[in-house]
Amino acid sequence: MRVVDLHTGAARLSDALDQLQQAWDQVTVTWNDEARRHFEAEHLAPITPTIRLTLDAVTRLAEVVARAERECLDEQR
Amino acid sequence: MSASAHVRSVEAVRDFRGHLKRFGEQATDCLDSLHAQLHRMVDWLEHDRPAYWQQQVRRGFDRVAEARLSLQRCQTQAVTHHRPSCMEEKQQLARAKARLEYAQQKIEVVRRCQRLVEEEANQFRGRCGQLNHLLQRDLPRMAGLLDRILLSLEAYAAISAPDRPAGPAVSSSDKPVDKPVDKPVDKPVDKEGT
Repeated sequence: MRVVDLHTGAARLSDALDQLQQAWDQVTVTWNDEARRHFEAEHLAPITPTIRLTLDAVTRLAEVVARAERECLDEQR
Repeated sequence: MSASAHVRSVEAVRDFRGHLKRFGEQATDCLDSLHAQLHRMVDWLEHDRPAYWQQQVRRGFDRVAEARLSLQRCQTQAVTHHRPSCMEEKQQLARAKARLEYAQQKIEVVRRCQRLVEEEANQFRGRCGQLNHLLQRDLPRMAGLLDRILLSLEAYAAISAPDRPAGPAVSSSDKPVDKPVDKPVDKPVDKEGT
């Protein structure tokens, strides 16, 4: 049994981003003007790289944590 | 500067406002969960593991002492002129010593992992800063901006509806709105609107 699970939180974060993107795709069908483009470029666009940056950080952290967990367990038991 | 607004469904924009709010809640939950898991790992390394391996070292010393006594007893039990080999006792002592050494090494391993994970945890918290900022500052601003856009569209729909007797009424729900609007001005909001 794992001591910690970072992958579930990361997967949920990724899902939340996907859902937001799908919702936005729906909006763009009916909202097509300068205000929408401004909102998309200035406000919505930075969300994806911010989430990706966090997910990359989780992946890196998960590797270190998994190695530490393995090394500190009692492999003789 | 004015530009033409083209919104065929105000309701769709309002729905997205709801999705944005849910995204903020979900992302906040995920981030809290990740920090909680990280805290659990640090706690495991700082408390659980040292206690476990220190206990194993104590037991290891006890077992080495027991095995050494067993070997001494065996070696003193000379039968007539035959000296016993005591192979089993010797092997038991060797195993007990190896286990003790393993447990002692693990204490050092745990210390090294504590430093490594703590350092990585600090870096992770730093990397989450951008997302924290997004969730605490940017998303409420976006929600406020959408609120102002929705208010503007609904207000226009309300006053323009009587002017369209022949066509479909412009409403705040799913009817088209074509109006000149100013480019949205981003204003900070104190809290997320509902």
